Amino acid sequence: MILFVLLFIGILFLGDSFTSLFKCKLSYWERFGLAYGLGLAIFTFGTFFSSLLGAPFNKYTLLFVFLVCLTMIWYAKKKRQIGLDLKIYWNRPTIPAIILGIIILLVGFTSLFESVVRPIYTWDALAIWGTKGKAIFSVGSVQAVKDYGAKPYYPLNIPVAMALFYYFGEPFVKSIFSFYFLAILMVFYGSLKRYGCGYVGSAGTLMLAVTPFVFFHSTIAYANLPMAFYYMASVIYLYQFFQDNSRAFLMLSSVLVGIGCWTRAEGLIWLLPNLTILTIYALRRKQWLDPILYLGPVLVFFLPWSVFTKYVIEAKSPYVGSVLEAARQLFTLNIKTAHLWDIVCYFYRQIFIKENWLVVRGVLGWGYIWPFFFSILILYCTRIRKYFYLLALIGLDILVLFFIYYTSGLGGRLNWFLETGFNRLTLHFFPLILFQTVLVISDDMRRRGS
Amino acid sequence: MKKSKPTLVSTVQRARHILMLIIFVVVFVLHVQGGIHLILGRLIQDLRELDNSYDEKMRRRRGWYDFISFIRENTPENANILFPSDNYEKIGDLGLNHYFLLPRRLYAGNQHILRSLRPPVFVVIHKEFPPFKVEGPRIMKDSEKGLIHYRPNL
Repeated sequence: MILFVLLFIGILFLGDSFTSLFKCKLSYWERFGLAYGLGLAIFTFGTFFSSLLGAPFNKYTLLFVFLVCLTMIWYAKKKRQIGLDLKIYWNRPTIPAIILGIIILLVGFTSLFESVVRPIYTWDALAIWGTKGKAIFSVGSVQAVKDYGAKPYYPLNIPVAMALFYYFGEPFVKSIFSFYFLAILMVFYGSLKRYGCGYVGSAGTLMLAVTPFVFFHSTIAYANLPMAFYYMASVIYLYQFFQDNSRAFLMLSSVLVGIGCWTRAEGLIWLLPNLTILTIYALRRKQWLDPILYLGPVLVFFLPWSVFTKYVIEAKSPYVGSVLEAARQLFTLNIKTAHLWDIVCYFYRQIFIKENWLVVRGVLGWGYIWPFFFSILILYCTRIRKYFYLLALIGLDILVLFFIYYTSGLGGRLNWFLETGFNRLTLHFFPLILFQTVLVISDDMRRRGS
Repeated sequence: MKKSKPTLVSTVQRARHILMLIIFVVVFVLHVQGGIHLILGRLIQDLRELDNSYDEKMRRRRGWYDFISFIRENTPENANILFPSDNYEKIGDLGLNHYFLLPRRLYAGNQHILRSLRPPVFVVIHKEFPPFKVEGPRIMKDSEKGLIHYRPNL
């Protein structure tokens, strides 16, 4: 148990040191949330490299990897003349922050409790992530994913993280996801606080915490929730860059979306909305360098993994061919409209049919958030211009989602794909919908002086 | 101080603000109440099985878990095991089975694959599988399910 706590503190320390490389003002909520997500991803990335170089997966190697990562970060800090940053950002907490903190802790504890009590039992969690994690842990090398587990072309952030936590037993493995859940809530609330959404921000965070589908994903060991964390945070910081043109936020967003590519196979597709909107922004402001800068950290995380997949484990992703075929059909306007119509109808049913809001085929649903988002959007349609970039990102995300399912449908099992994965793939940008709604509401509250 | 006269625009904005507040409060209450209700339901379910063992919990969720445990108990860690080639969520779902049988190597297929495997080799007996003759002693779990320890030269 002491070792587990030490590992956890080590991850937070590593992540916080890395976050402090970006000279941007973040609240202590955000720093905690980012410290976990970034610390864990950097640690798994370092472990991946050490394993490729032939180091066995054991305690000594892990300690060595941790020290190397920390040394590199401190060296970069010294180069950039950033002092050793150990101070805690502690403002006097407001009453909503205290209430929220207590409720978040209770929901987080419930998620943690459920993770510990329920074994890993769902298909993806066992066959893809759990098996790979267990194989890396027991065989002692990341190359074990060639022989064990389904879909060897899926990235290794979560399997390596699971392998780290297998040292402490299976119940601890699922706690990874409960901590990601807490990290999402912290970054979400901290970012809203930066926009001055006090009480409404607290209410919005509470709504996110008790959204049945988000809570459900914090307990089943799928990689969708970690992906949601990285993608949500990347969009929030990209939006912050659009507000104040601070490059630190741009690079932070880029690192986060890059880690998204290191977390799930479709991470690269989710980069497209960000890159498209960033290019529009860059063209408007004549900042040509920004999209190129944005791609840098993404490539750092994506390229080693794709080289490893192609040349070391020789696994070929079947998605590449489907994506190219779907893109060809779209560009030649040779679209299968029946497929597209099925996807739109499914999306409509998930969002507007009340029976699907709380429980969908035994899986917890989205609650009332989607209708909430659309009703506030219609009510404040005159202010769309003010939130253009965020709304455009959400809109593009929905279009990309349709494209992904159009691609999946080419194999002829569209309904099966929709029923098993559609809701999961909206988890990436779902918190942004609530984020946008809370921004509009608190803006109106401020204007009316409520 | 003189109060400014309400214009049509300010009245519409005020009405919109009130409508927004109503929507916000109603959605917040319904969403939080519904969410907490479902989360508490899961918590109560977890508390009920707090004392159950890992095997009992898995048995409730995965119908074939007992058979997989049987295979794990009756094969060495370096075994190569041949499964039926039905996949997703069935006995031949190698992705799922790997999790419980690691570090054993699992294969799905026919007699050609069987002949290419290095000993110790085991073949799963499940319903009509294997549809070909396999030489070697049998270890049965029940009348339908079991294992054959493949020894062609025995």
